[in-house]
Amino acid sequence: MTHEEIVEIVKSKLEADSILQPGFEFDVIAQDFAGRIGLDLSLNALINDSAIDEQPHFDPSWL
Amino acid sequence: MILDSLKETARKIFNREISATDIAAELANDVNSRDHILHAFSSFSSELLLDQAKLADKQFSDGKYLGSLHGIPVGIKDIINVAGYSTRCGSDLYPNQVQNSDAEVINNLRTDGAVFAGKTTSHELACGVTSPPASNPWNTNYVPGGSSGGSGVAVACGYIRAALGSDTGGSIRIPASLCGVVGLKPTYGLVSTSGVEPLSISLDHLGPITASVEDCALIMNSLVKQSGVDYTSELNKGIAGMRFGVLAGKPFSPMQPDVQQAFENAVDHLRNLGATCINIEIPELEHTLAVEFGIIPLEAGAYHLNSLQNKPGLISPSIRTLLIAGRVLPKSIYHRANTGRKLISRALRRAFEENNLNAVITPSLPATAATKDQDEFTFGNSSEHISVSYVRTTAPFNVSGQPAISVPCGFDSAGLPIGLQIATKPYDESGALQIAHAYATSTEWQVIAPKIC
Repeated sequence: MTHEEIVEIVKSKLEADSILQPGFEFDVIAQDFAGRIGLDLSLNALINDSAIDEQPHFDPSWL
Repeated sequence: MILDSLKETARKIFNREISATDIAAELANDVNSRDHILHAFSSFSSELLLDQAKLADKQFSDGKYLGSLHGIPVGIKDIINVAGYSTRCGSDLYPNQVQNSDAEVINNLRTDGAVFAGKTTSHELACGVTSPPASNPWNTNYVPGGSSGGSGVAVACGYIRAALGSDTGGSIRIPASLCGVVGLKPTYGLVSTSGVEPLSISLDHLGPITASVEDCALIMNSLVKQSGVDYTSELNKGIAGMRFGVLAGKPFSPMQPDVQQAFENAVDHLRNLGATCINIEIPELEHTLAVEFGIIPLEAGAYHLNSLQNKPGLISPSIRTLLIAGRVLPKSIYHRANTGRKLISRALRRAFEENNLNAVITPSLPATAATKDQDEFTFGNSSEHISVSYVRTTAPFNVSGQPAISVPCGFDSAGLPIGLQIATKPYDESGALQIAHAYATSTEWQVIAPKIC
């Protein structure tokens, strides 16, 4: 996905949220967005590499 | 201003060796003479402080001693509501409007007799690690850390012995480590966040920043007074026979050589106190920041949606970018991050169970304080933004919700403090305080004060 395509995605999402404002730094926002999407690769690695032999659960006695 | 411990101050007030008004007057004089340099307080009123202190003295002379904090000043991070003060969150979004009611934790402290020394500087919206314009008391060219930076500064420079902070990715332990004081992030949910402006509700924690571990335990007694737990009761039991996991690998490495050396010295010291320390790697923790940063923007973006829509110009560009990310990131990331959170919590639990651990220990941070104009740290051949460096060692315990305390463990070659982080099982704050107290009272680091004091 090109930078320009990411900028367009960001603009359309912000427009849908009624927070599209003149003066927003879309290049910076798009770079940040792309970087955060990159975090999903790390989440993939965590979820896929963990030996999920059971459905993860939140145990109230632990938390 | 050289302050006695909370316990000793309480004793002096009870024995009428000193009054609350004496303490407040000295504090007001100190803040008015020095805080234009340190900026520990974003809001401070000598008049409000003295009024509270005079009331405390009157109550005492009328035979009404409220409790262990009677007449003792405590600093409050400026995201926590205190009646009579405004809550500004380090942000122009919040008007200078006096609050009519206290947060639940303030009510608890007030019930025990505390007076409020003012609102301490918070990084904007509690979302950052530098807390401008606050300065590090060890060298005012350096940052104090954040987001509870003002609380760290106020305690480190000797204005007060105790303050409250909040911690979403490390915001209590970061300033505690960088300022050379004690900071405890309790178990998620143990300390009420009612009446506190949130950053990320599923990761936000409140806790004390104090001059000593004993002070920290006393403040905890007040913060969770409804539980009836006495967090001072285990402090002097020592750590002989305990087992600690020394966390190695990512995200704890790389770290600065001085930090590495101080940490190794601390581990040796804990062994000398009778503990067994074993090296442990938990591979899942490498992905902590993906989880942390997959949750914070979406929760913060949801909370601040109205401000983004109507007052975006009042949010600084870097914070606004994070909030906007929370609106444009796919919601699936949030759900996947929460799955990751469960996996990390489970991995930590297994490490404790399989190794029969009382605690895991790490350097609080991989680096000491950054200069105010510094954006990155360099570790060998790699560089890293300071916000990543300062969060990667602390955030695992926001994700897992376990208690984690930072206690001073040395200085780097520039004379800047280094912290030791101790994390215990959920609801084992007493264990974390016991270990930290054993370490702190058998080393010199806790009692060394910056020269600016």
